This record gives sequence, structure tokens and C-alpha cells, in this order.
Amino acid sequence: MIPGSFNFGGALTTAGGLIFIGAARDTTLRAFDIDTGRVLWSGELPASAQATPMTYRARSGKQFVVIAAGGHTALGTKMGDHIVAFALP
Amino acid sequence: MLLLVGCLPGLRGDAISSGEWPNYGNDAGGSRYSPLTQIDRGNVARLRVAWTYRTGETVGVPGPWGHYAFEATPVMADGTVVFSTPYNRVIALDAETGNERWTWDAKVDRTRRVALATSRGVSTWLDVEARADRTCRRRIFVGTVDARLVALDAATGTPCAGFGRSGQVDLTEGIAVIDRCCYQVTSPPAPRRRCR
Repeated sequence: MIPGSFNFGGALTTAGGLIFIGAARDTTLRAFDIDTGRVLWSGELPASAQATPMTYRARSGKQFVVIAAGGHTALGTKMGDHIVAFALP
Repeated sequence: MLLLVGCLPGLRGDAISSGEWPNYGNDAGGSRYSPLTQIDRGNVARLRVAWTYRTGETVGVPGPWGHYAFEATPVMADGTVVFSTPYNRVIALDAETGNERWTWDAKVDRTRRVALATSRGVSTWLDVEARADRTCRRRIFVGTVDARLVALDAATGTPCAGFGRSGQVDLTEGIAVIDRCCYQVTSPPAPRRRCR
């Protein structure tokens, strides 16, 4: 077995010490510790995210992490039409 | 080099320190780095879905148009999240709630073959010299799969009449196009302020 996954999509890096990457052929957005590479969080998506996530702070002061979960016909991943926003509760 | 120095103020991230994400890659250099720290290593495990928006564009089967992928990275400015779909519908959402503010449809002919139906997003540009209430003071730019460059008013999604013809420029004008099949738009446009 060859480890890893063919993937389409870039990384978001934050001053919170995190790297967010979707991109893989499953339906997951992952947050990695920038120093150790350890996966600290996995978010389930309604489709594959062949896209680069982004983040912003809204007027309320809340930080959101947003990614398009649309899939890709060339990768044969799960298709969707979703924009998903994550935040702390 | 002198020209580059003259441009540097435009690269500085006032909008970025305010928590916005005004370009495809956040800053004008496209670093995809954010200085935000509310979500960090200590609390990221508690991250959960705040809202989900569906574009309704579910054309997902490869056909005469080749491949299809919704790959947009939204921009965020003035409290609004903006992105585009593979067939160039531009959608603006409330950044807090995900509620739709406006949509604009490029009305691309979907029966025509394109190599790859994808739009990785839009660009935004602020005309700092325009009065605050002026239409198209902030613009959204999108490149379409059928080779148009479009400018929209960021507040309403209405095409900017002063840009090209009724808000659009035909990018094939004056160019002998041999085969439109292979035209692709792999990045949002990159607006630059004129250097003085």
C-alpha cells in the first residue's frame, strides 16, 4: 500500500499555530499542529473539499474557517454544492 | 525596483489586520496566512459547523463540457463572503450567518464544451477615491469560463456600468480563437492599484 492520498487543494496557515487542509479524497477538513504535524481536529464535510480553506473574523468577533465542499469529477470524489463555515461554540 | 517600492503600501494588509480575507490568498502576495488567533491549538478540537450554504448548482457529471469542480476559496470584505460557482454564478453571503445577500448569474451556455468547469473564486477591489455612497466603490471581479471579465458592485451584485461594456469585457476581442474547448480560468483576477 502506498501511504497518502492524491489531493487537490491548498493549505491555510494561522497565527493560532494551525494548518487547515481539505483536499484529500475523503470528506474531511483537518487541522494540523504547525510544529508537530499532528492532526488536532477533523471536521466532517457533506462532500469532498477540492479547495483551499480561508478564515476571517466577523463583526461579532467570532473567527470562522470556511471551505467549499464540491468534489471533483476528475478525482471521482463525492460531489457537493456546499460552503461550510466552522467556528467555536 | 523603484516602481516596486512605490507599490508597497498597496501590499500592506490593513484589511487583513481587521480580520477580513480580501484576496484569494488573503494578502496581495497570496500567502494564505491569517494573523487570527481565536481558534488555536488548545481549542480547535471544539470547532463545529456554524452554518452551511448550498449553491444549488449540482452539475457533477462529466459530459461534453469535460470536468467539473466547485473549488472556490471565498473572499471576505465589509462583512460579506463572496465566491463563484463553476459556471460563474457569483454569490454573496452574510459573513456571520451565511444568509444570502445577492447572487449574479453569468448565464454561461452550458451546452458548449469547456475543458474544465471550475471557478476558484473572485477578487475584490476598493476604489478609495470614490465617495462612500458611490455605486461600485467596492467591486467584485470574476473571470468566466466563456472568457469574459466582469465587474460587479459588491453591495448589490449589479454589473458596474463604467467597466467595459455594461460591466463586462470580452477577453477574446481581437484574438483569433482557434478552439474554445481548451480555455480555462484557473485563478481569480488580480486587481492592482496603479503605481504612482
